[in-house]
Amino acid sequence: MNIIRSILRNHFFRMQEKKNYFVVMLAITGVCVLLAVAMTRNTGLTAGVAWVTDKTDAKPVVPAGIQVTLLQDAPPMSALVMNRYDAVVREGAQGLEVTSLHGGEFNAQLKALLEGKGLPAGHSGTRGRGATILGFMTMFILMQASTYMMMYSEDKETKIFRRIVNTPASVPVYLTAQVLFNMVVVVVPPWCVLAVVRVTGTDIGFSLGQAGALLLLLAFLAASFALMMASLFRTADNCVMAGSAIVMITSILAGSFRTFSSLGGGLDALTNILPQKHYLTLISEIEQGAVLAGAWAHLVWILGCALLMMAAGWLVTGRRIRTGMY
Amino acid sequence: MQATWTVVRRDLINIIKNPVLMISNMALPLILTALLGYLNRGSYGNAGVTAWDFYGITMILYAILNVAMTAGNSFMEKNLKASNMRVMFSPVSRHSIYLAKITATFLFTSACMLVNLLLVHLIFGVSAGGHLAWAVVLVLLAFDLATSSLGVMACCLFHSEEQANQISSIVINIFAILGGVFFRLDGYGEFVRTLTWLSPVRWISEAVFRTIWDGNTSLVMPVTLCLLLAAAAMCGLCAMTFRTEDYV
Repeated sequence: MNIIRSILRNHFFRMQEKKNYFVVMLAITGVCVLLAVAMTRNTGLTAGVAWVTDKTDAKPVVPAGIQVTLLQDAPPMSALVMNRYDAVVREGAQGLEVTSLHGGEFNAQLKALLEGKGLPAGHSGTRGRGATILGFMTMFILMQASTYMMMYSEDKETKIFRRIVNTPASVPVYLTAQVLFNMVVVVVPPWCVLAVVRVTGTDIGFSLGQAGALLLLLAFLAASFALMMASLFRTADNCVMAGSAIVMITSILAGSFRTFSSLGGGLDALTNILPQKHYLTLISEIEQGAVLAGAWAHLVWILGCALLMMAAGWLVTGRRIRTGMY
Repeated sequence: MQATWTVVRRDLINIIKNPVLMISNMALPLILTALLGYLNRGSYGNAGVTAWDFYGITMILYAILNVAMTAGNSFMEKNLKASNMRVMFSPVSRHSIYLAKITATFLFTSACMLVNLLLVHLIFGVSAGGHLAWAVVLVLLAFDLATSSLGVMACCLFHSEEQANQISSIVINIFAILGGVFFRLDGYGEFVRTLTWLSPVRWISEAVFRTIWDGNTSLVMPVTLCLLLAAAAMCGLCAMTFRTEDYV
């Protein structure tokens, strides 16, 4: 315990030495959280439609969830490729003409919907506010944890680690201290920003206690991942580059930005392994107040993944110490 | 000039010999294109445009953003610092140190980028603009030069490669997401749509996609010029903040 305390104290001294870096990181964290909150101001939109008409004053009445932009000329093809609009609607002789890149079925559905005949298509992302905010932050928190693990990489690169190995401070204790430090610096700033957002009257979907607990769970996962990566890679920069690429790909696959209903092929099986996927399911269940019996399974899966990665980190480090690499 | 070129050649070899840089510049954009194109294949129908057409281009933009990390790596990796020191003590202008890093990064990554563009065109049938491909390549090259300078400038500002790269890695991803390279943000409402224009990626992708799909090159020259000016400004900042004594 004493050793953990002194390592943590040492870490905080080193943080002061790298003031610039941590100030910039804090600012970035703030921007990320605020961005995530801003993006959820307007959920529930299903489609953006460019409505080509000469009558620029009368906005057509459309079902909720469809955002209409009135245009005099058809939008260029690039706007459709870049997904600015999902579809172009023209007022033709036989009613509305819908064209899009999504194919005939989508066009027919949208046409029926605009003419008031069809039922609104089920919104694919039924995730609530809080889950959307935390979902966006998942990737940043996982990335940040990798970067905050730099003091471990630094200790290895500057041979301080060799000296630690040869002292009574056992390696497991040292690594535990790294993980604890990592969790603290990863959780506290975003939680504070969320607290400010919440206090100033914006709904974040969770109570502050819930948000804190969920962030802590995510931080545990992130710190374990970071520990594993930092143990595997010998230098900090290779570790950060590989780590952010892995985090990026897995977060997209797990659907932390938008949900994919079914991926097809073997990808569904693959994404079900990803802890982020279970985390996202867990937070949206908690937010909707419908914690199902399966929630425990998600929690166990996340913790299991985290412990597995941490164990991998410890094993690699232990083996390298035994073979005398440090 | 001759001396600078010698340093550039050495730097180029150092970059090529680093497997992580090779993978992140060559393989990663292809993997991401394949993955995202496959995931989003359902949202493009039979109108002659595929998800690859979108992600093939945006992932190349994302790869170019990440060039900033390659640049940082080529500048200040621990085992390269010693060689930088020797250049400092040789009768070579101190400016040639960081200019050589920028040049070497630019040469290597733009070669990677062009190969990748060709590969996504051949494998996934990504449209690169046909006879207007030169305009697309021009914008991409200018962007590459700007991010190469950005990476080196970050190193000059923070005096350490790790810190520079860790910060740029997060800034890059914010730019990428705001620029809409992974998914569209327009559905998030007016406010977010305005925010997206803060990201240079948004402007660049607008120029590129307008060229490819509308044959409209009106944004190409302004965007290219801005990128070149930004690159020049960042080189200027390097000249102001690069002090050899920081590296001794």
